[in-house]
Amino acid sequence: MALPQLSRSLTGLLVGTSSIIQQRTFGVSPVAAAIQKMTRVRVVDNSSLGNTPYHRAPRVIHVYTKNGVGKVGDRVLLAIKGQKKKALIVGHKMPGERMSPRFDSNNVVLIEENGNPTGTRIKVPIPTHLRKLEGDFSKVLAIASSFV
Amino acid sequence: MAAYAKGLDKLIFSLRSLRNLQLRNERGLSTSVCRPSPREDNDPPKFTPPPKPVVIDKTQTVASMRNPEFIPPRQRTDPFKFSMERKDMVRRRKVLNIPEFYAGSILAVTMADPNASGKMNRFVGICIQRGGKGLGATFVLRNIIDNQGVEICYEMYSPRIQSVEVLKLEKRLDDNLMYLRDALPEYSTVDPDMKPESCSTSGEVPVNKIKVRMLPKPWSKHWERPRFGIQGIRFDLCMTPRQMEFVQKWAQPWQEYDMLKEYDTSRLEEQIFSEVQREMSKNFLPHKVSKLNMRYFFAVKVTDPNEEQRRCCQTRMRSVCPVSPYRRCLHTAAAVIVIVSAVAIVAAVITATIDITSVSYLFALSPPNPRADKKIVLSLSLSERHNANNTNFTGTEETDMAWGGSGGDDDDDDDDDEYEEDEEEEEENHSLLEIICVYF
Repeated sequence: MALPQLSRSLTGLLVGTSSIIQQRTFGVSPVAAAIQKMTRVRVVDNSSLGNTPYHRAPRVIHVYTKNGVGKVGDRVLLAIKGQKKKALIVGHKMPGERMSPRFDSNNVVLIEENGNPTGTRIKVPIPTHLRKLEGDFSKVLAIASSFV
Repeated sequence: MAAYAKGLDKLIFSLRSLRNLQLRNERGLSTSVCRPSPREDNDPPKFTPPPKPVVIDKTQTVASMRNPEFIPPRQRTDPFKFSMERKDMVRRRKVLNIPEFYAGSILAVTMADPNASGKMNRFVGICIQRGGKGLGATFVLRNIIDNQGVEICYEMYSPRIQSVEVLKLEKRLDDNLMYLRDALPEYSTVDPDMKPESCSTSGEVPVNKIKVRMLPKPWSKHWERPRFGIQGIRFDLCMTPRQMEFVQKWAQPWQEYDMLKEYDTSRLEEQIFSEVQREMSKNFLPHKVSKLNMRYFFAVKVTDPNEEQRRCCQTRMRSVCPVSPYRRCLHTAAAVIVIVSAVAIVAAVITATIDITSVSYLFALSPPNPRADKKIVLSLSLSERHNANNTNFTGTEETDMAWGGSGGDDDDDDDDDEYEEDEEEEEENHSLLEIICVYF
């Protein structure tokens, strides 16, 4: 029974391999406040910056809201591969409103300064209430493949 | 220790039908009889524990298992609040068929979503939890889409829900399947295009005795601990017997015998479910409900409940929530005022410029785009081009202002022509001839 524990610690070092292992590397402590500084996030678009493996998971270093808590639709600043990049939150583990989806991982889409997405496709389902913020993130919604 | 507990459980189940007095007598007997009795092997052990409060829970009626949100929690609130809520729940259930389902059943829920394409949002998933009481009753559906686990907590009595369909009706070994979050993804994956499976012929709901394999620890909760009482996990694959024993440290076996935690709902259930059945069987007569009430329960239909459910949420709402007479009066009043003002303005303009050609191009100006109008005007007017341009510009400005200043992109022109307009107006106030001179 020590073997699964060993494998668990080993997979903790590897990032960006199979999806099942990726699920296990992220924080499993109870969710207190959706996304804040130092949360490890999962980049869900197909940009090279988000998908190339690195020995450190992408972390949030700043949340562009009044309080430091980021929910779906908020912009954050990530530290990926030793560089700073802005991103948009498209799903978090914290349960939100009733009737709105809750994801099993904190999902994030890389974004430029002007709001254009870095990648060209988002495979993961996106919550539909993002459509309300049509003006800012219309391009992100355009590259999304499915909505939940 | 585990074996002892098991033995105790068996004993308790066998004693389910006995009354308190009988048990007490037996206990009296056991203390009077000396302990090292040779009869212990044949008869059940004489030491009988006090009646478990769980006994009462086990005699839960079928109706309460099916619809647990009708039974109010043990609180100090007035039962009138719960009876009011039940009335509303029954009214909603007459409109929307909420079928019987349990944790572990696979459901498909169609929800009205203003942000979704086609206004409807369909989600298929396995029900992992049924919570809440009264109108706030919820159920959580879980599914894995594109390797991403998604859970949605639906409010059962929310008017946004258009239909709840049970694709597979079954029970599991536990009431709460939250541990599926830490189980292998195959156990939470449900095909979104699944067809509804036919229910079993007998009235009983099939119990799926599947034991789920878990992902490696750490889990989001310590599912192995006795406080969750989970039967549906394969602990033998993920934990050693030594770990299982260690976990029993958190066991609280005295809680089963805590009589203060007893909540006997049998009589309450009988009352509630008989009332609910009566209400449901009553035909929903169309009656003139007050409009305020209609607006509050806006998902409730006043017409025949067998009417088909409409597709679009908006049309449904509009049909079901008619405009109140007060609002209707306001609408009509507003319309009347607009019409009257328009007529007055037209009359004023006509009196100011009685010239036929001017009237003709005024009527041609009804579309709001002033630039296009100017072109039309230029082509229509009979006067010299140079004068016509100037006058037509001012004329269009005036009429645009009269029609509510719809020429938004003419701000610069407005500023330039303000003085000209004033001059024109002053001149127009004189005789007809002067007006004709102005325009030609």
